[in-house]
Amino acid sequence: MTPGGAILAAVSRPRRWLAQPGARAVLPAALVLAGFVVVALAAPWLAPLDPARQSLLARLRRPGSAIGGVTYWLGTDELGRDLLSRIIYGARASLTVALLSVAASGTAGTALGVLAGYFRGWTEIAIMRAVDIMLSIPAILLAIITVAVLGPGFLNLIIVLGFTRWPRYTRVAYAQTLSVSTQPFITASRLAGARPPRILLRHVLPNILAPLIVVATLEFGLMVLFEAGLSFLGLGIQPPTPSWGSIMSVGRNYVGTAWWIATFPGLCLFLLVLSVNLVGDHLRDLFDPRSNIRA
Amino acid sequence: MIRYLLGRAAQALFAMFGVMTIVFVIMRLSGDPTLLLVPEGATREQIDLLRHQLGFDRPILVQYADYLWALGRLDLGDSVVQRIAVWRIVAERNPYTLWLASVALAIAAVTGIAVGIATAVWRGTLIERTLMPVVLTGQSMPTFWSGILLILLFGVLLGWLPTSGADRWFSVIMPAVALAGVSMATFARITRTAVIEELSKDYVRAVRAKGIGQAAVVLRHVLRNAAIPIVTIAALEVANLLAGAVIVETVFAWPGMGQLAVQSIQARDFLVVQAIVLLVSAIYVSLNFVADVLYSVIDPRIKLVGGRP
Amino acid sequence: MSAAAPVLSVRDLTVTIGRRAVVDGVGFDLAAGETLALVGESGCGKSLTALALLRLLPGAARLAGGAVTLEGADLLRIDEAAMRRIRGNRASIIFQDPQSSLDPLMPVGDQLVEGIRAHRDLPRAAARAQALAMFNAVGISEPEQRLGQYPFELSGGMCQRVMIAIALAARPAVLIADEPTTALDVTIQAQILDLMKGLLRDSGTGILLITHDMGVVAEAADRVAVMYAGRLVETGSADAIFGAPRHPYTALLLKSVPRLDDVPKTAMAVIEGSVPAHEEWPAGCRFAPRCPLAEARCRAEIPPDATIGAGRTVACRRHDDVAAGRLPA
Repeated sequence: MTPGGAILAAVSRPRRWLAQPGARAVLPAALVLAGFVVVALAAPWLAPLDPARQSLLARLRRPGSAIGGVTYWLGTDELGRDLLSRIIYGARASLTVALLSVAASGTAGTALGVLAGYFRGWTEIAIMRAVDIMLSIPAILLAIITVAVLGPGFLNLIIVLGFTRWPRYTRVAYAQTLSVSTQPFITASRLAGARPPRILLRHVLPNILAPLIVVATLEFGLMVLFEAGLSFLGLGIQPPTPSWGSIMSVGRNYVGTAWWIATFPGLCLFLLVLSVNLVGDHLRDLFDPRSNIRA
Repeated sequence: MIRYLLGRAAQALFAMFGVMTIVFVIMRLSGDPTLLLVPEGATREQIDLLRHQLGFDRPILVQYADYLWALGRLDLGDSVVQRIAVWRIVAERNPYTLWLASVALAIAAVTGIAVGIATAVWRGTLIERTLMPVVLTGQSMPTFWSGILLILLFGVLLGWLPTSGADRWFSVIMPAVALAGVSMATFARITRTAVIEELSKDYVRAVRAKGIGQAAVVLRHVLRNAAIPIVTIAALEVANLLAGAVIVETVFAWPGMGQLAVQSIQARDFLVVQAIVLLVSAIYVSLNFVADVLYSVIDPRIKLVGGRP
Repeated sequence: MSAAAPVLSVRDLTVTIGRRAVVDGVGFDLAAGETLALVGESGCGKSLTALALLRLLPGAARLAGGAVTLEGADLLRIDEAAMRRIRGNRASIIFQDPQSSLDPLMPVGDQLVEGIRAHRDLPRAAARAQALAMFNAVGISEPEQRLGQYPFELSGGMCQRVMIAIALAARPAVLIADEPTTALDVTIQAQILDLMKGLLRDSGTGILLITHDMGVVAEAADRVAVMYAGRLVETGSADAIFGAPRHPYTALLLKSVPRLDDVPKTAMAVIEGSVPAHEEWPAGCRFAPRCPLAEARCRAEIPPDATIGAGRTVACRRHDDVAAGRLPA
């Protein structure tokens, strides 16, 4: 069964899908994930306070402190800003960067992989060699040096992350395209006179989507971690825009006196990545229970 | 076998060559690399002078050739900021990172493989049901968070271990554990899958039919057959460890190359950053080659047939 | 054929998968030095029977009852440690695909030595010498060289010889051979069968030969037990079974084997229908849906085993009709 067929099968028989082991864990994970998305989208309405509002009086206060009639549920940071509000807005940064970079690297990577797998020959050699080379540099170093050169910031961050991750998609798209291209319905369509763009878009792409979705999901989690990591190093989202990573970077310095600053954003990161991984794993088991090696 | 290894060596060299090219391209992405290397507040004349000194005013292909030639001679240039040879700066920090990464790899591999075997052999039991969530947790923990939590627990609360630096021999424990977290989970998952796959194979049944006990079946037969995917992952995980070292070294103020890279970016010492990226990539590529050598040792089919069947 | 006590005695063996008994009350005796062929089509449960004897059942299959007596011990009741002392030692088994039954990453000589040293406390050199002797005995050419070779370097027939060497290293009382020649070339088949018989002629080892191939049965078996859908339908000596089958299934099975003296261009005889999956087993005789002699009482109740001679049983109410030749061709 082609991966496309597998999606169809899952969608049309949800009961059987739910009965699989591990489905029980996925439901709450998916809900948590959806919860984060909602929080990110509704940040301006959900955040109790203005995340940028500083207060000298309320510096480094414990979670639950109430100063001047305002309750800081998760405490305050070194400039007296409400940690909860900053974390809520931080979800925006994390999710947006992750989503956009997955979109960028996913599209570019898949396109290259499909081209390499369908046209073979020199195209294949050039693209796959490039993939090998890109995968020879540890991603974060590639990101660091690129950010160093281009400068930090939201847009550059997305470019950098997109640039470093496309090979992951290419490898999978290439392997899948290779196996799909040999199937009779592709040959039939070519014989019927269809031009390559049509074949690729209408026949090849839908059938290779499933494993790519799995990769994209797991990459999403990784991109959240990457953004947080780069922001932690000061190379990602710049202050004063809140990002879980940069908040934790400050928190590191205050770990002895204000443990909450580093702990809560980290907890959110952990929960987000955990739920993404659970959902991604389940998707992978769904589409190909035998593949447990990452692309 | 020789042919196989020569082929892999050639591929490794090609990859390294590609890496150097990519770094070259990246360094010039902003247009004029001189601007990256000048100290703040330099005058127009100083910039032009530096550009000429560093050769950035020459045609790009000439620069490229010169760059490759210099790297071939292992000449990494001089730090514009510190005014000493880049390799000296990096060499001082290199051992710390290698030490940290090695300890982390050992921890991750030993615990990960053990957990992987346990969850595969005792599938469906309480052991598996307890360990799998632990593995999943390890996989999802951001390294800097687990690092901070470790500092909170063992450094601040319990006071057993130092919260930063590399002064005592046991300073390496927390950073290594934090670094090993995600890798441990990966080793566990790969080992588990590989062992489960092997246990379902015919030869395992035949070995049992000889009257061999479960322990010997797993240790003597299954592990060797399951080793190949595990070795692949070990090589890939080293890359992740070296990358993760950047973050962990920052969290723990560990004086390694990762911390150097971040400090160099802040100090605008880009030649050092370039050198680190090239060096770490070289280590990674070499380790992949070592993994290839190991395959042929573990799997005699490769040695004699000349490639993976 | 020996008239002494059987080396292996199976009574009422039952194996379940889920709630279905896929091996249902199977019983037979194996005498010393005798070759008993357990015959049946794919899916009738003969392989599971073999695996059950040594408690090597896979996955979801469970031993649900019965007794297996080997040299005085009930194999189904002893503990796992005692069972390990018997496997490869007093009772051995060889499997269908010899190459996949050997560890691909270990030299075949080492695998034989492992089997030898599992049951005898021998120093490595002595074990290796014995391995060399075994390789010679099973007819492996250039045995010295072969000891250090890997399974992928050997042909299928050679691998099966290695398996036989491993199985017979400890001179077991029983050798179970599960489709030992099915994966091999026809020319090699005969060699392997001859090898097995030759090796065991003097040692008194009983062979339980599992197969679906009547040609192999004719070649090698002293006695035959025919199995259908989890139950034994007929047992007897090879001569009796081939010469005068008493169960409709056995008779039709024999008729469906093409013969050199068949009239050319006539349709081959087939048994209508196909073996039912265990979900579909009927309440009565399981062969009834395909049996030309089936009657109402056949469909209602499973026919009891009828003993019609020494060592001769048949589970059919109309076995006399079969003997009288009233089975439609």
